Amino acid sequence: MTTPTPDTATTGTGDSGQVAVRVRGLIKKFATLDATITAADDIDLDIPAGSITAVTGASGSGKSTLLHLIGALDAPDAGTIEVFGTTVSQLHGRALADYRGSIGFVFQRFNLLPTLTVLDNVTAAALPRHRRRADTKERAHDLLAAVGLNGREHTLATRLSGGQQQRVAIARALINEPRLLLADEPTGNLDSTTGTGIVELLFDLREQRGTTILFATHDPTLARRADRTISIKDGQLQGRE
Amino acid sequence: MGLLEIVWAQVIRRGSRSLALFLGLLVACAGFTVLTAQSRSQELVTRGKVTTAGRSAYDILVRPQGVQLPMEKKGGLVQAGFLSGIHGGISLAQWHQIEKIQGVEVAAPVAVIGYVVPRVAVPAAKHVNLNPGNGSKLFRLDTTWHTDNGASTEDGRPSFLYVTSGNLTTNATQSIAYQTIDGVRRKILAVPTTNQVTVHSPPTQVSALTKTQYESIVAGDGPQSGSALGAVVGFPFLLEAVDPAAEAKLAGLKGAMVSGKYLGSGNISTAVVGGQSSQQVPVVVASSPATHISLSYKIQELSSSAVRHVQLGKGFDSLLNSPGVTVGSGSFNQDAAYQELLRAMKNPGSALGDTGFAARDLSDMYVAGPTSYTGKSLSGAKVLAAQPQRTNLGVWQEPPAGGGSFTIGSIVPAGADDTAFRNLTGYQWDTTNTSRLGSPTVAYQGTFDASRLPGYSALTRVPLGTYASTVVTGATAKDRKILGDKALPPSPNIAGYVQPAPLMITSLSSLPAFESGSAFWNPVTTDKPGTAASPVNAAAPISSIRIRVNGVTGVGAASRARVRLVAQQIEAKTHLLVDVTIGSSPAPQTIVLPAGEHGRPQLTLHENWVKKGVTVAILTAVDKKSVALFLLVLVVCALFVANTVAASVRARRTELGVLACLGWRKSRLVALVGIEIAGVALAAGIGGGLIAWAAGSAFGLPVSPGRAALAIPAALIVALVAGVIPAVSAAQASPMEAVQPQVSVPRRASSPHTVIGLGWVNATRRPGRSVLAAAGLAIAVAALGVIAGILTVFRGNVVGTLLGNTVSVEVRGSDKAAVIAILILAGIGVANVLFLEIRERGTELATLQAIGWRESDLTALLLTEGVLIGVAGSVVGAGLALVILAVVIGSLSTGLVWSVLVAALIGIVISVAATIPPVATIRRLPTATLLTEE
Repeated sequence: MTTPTPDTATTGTGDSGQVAVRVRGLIKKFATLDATITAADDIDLDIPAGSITAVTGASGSGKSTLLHLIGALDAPDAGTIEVFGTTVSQLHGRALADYRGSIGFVFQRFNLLPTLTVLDNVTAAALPRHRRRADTKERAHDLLAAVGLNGREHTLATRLSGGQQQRVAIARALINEPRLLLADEPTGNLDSTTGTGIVELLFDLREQRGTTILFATHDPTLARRADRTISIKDGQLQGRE
Repeated sequence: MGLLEIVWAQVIRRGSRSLALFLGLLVACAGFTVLTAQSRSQELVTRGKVTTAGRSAYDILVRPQGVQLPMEKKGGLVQAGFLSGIHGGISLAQWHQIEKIQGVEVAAPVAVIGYVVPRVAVPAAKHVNLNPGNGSKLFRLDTTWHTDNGASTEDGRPSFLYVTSGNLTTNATQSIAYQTIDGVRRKILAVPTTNQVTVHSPPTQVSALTKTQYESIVAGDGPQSGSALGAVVGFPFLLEAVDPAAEAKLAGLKGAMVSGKYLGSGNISTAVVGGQSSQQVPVVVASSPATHISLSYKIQELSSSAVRHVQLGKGFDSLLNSPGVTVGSGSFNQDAAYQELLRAMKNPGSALGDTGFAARDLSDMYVAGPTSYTGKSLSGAKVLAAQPQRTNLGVWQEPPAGGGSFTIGSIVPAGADDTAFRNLTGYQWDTTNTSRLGSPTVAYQGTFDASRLPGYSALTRVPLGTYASTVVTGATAKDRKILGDKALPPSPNIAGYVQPAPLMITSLSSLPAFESGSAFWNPVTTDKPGTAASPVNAAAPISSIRIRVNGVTGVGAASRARVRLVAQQIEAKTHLLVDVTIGSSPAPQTIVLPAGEHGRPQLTLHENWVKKGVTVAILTAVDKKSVALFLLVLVVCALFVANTVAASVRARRTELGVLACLGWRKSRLVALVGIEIAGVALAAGIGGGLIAWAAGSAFGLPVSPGRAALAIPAALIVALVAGVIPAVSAAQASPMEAVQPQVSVPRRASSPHTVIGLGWVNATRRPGRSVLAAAGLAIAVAALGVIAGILTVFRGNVVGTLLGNTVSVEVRGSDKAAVIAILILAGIGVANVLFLEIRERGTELATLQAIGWRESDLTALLLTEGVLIGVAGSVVGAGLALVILAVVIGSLSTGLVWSVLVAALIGIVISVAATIPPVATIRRLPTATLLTEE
């Protein structure tokens, strides 16, 4: 098995010149009733800060797993993940929660809280921490304006269209001014026009804020718009462009 | 695939939910079945209509088992004097047990010890010149005793007084006087008055007691005072021991004291009295005698030949009837004699000397048994004929002590050889045993006046009264004339028909002086001293306990219920004979009293017996309150099951929608859910039944196989009742369910600013689910509040009214178990809601984790939901408990409110504790999977 050389290319603004994400020897396996699936098979990877990186691959190839592991939503079986110098795979408890709060994550299914308004969904991360609430609220308004949802703040999130819900999800992901935004198939549940709009939004964000963006997609068109693309098959990094 | 196969696949595939349902039903049904085995309890019921408005000094009478005579058992008739006829049978421990029972205001024990016969010599010759001058004189005192209001008379034994101017000498050991006459020292065969010894009938002759015996033969040197000749009067005192404090409270004995002081609680002490060591028994005595006795006497100076007869040492036998010159006569007033006796008791150093000791002597004890009757017809009316008993004079015999000389002993009371109506047992102090502390002796404390006792009502004058003799009057004009138009009083004959009231009261702490260790002996049943016999049963000395119940104000329903409840507890705890005296009334009986030996003709009498107003029966009955509690176990379980089944149906909406798409009819959809619920319930019922049966066998509970099988229908009914709404809901599944997301969209947007706010939003998101859990908790808190209130404020039982009916509630062990079971099930219900929430909202929780919520934040969120359910349930439950208590008891005391508040707090604590297991599962949430799965 060939191990791809970690990517060290830099693109864009912000954390230019730094490595935002450093992955070494990452292994993650899932047991099913009749087999063990290796979703991440000894992955080494460097993501430059401020870059937009697309992760491509077929369904079940391990794209989402890679994002989940970097986003600390799941724990690797082996290997290390460093995000801006923080070894994510060693975090627990409060530090883990703080890390999750410090990055942004956008899901294919949006995963908005159905009982809350648009605004509250965006500020939900600040709900347990009272001190940050006032600042966060103001910032949420700005973000919602930025994603084109001005005036919809008090609408029940689940009453929005899919594209609008994803915009809310992006605003939520950005509420804590993350240096890293992870997006798992952000346009997967959207029509192409809406999906394009979302992608434009992500690129604008990078331009405006220098956010490092790593997104998974199986849409080649969308992938091609990224600064760089890495391909995964059966949990293994196949190459990059 | 058939319906059953689909159902089976559901049960297996959703194993955890099926298991939760199974376990919930299993626990509830097993618990219910075991508890219902305890629903039958021993219940004391009272029967009868209370017509009298009066209330006796006590509400409950407790006696040893087996003392009821046939007439009481059959007709509720309690015969006169029944209390004094009971000698022990109740232990001190049982008395203390009764004292501690909730509702007992006072429990006053009575230990009947027996009759003692203190005696006093009453001077008869105060106005007779007893100066012999230069010679010698011989006087004879002849007495006649009158009893039964004069209907019976008996000549007493004569007393001789020999007075002389010559010098008397004494043989101290034999107490015989000698005189030198004509230069010869002669034996006078009389006792020198200086010794003040009364010689009475030699014991060997007692069995043949006749009027030829002497009362006393005294020799005096020089002029004698009037007291040298007198009659010795013995008054039978019924001696009873009481608890001074309880007696003061119940009967007001302390308040009836007219002189001296009341009984203390101290123990007996020892002292030397009359030259002998004795145990000082503190007593209070009645101010007037219960018995009626009068005595007429005549003093004759006998002729000089009679004097000579004595001087020649020929004794007095031939002088018993010899004529003389009457120098004095009169009669004794019994009250004066009684006061003389009290004076002798009060003053140990009385001039009466040894008779002073006799006044305080408690070494001879007599116990009288009950009278038996036979029914007969008299002029067409049913009457009771008192049955004469064998006159047992043997009990009076006195053994010679030590060297064979006569001892100071009992005087056979007048009328002792009259017809007996009771069996008499005698106990005498064993004077041959010198190692003892000494015989019991009166230590006079004070005098009480029975007529001053409060509540000396019509009812206390019947035999239920403690200090009053029964009233026996002539039934016909002829009988009344014979009795001088007065009631037939008790006679000094202890074995006689009418029993006197207790005249002498001591404290229970004095009982050791009369117990077997004190070496009494029975002169009839044992043939020699040293064989212990005791008038007091040391192990169970108390004869009866009279109880007044708290909160009893009359004979109304509430008062009767209070009394019944206390009586029931006494019976359950002591297994003694318990009677409710409320409603008891005098029941005059016609008694035929056969003619006596001393002239009294047969009498037909009316005697006030007691007709018990209510009869008491111990029944095995179903405790409705317990059954209600046990049913609540099932109700709370049903709430839990309803939530679980509803969640199951909700989770399968898509699946049910698909089936609807495939053309399944509604009935088939209902069957799909119904069969699954019924199947799980059947399994849980069988399991619950087996557990109940096993628990019954292991712990000795009355869980028969039949009762254990009750778990099966219980489980089925609970599951099907709880599952009917969800099952019907399943039938409403439309094909559109298959394509709609399973997201419940709130009707309006919420904007919580805190975790608690979000918790509130979540708790109200599925209000039905939260309401069911809160309802379960409310029921648990209400049950706990009511039971805790009754336990803490009323110490376990309460009497009140419900819908106008008087109810009494007693908290039993099984009730406590039921409340605990309800609390546990309510807690499980709260936990179940949170489990369901976590299961259904896993993605939301994972999202919150993904955006940086800490585990503690999620814990706080779920805790908020649990606490909200807990607070809602507890507040409603506390309100319910207060309403129930207020309705039943009529008012709410601070203690009750506190008890309910504590119950509410426990409800909240339970709901908080119930969140712990669900919260623990947060750590295991598959965050990534939840966020990506469809």
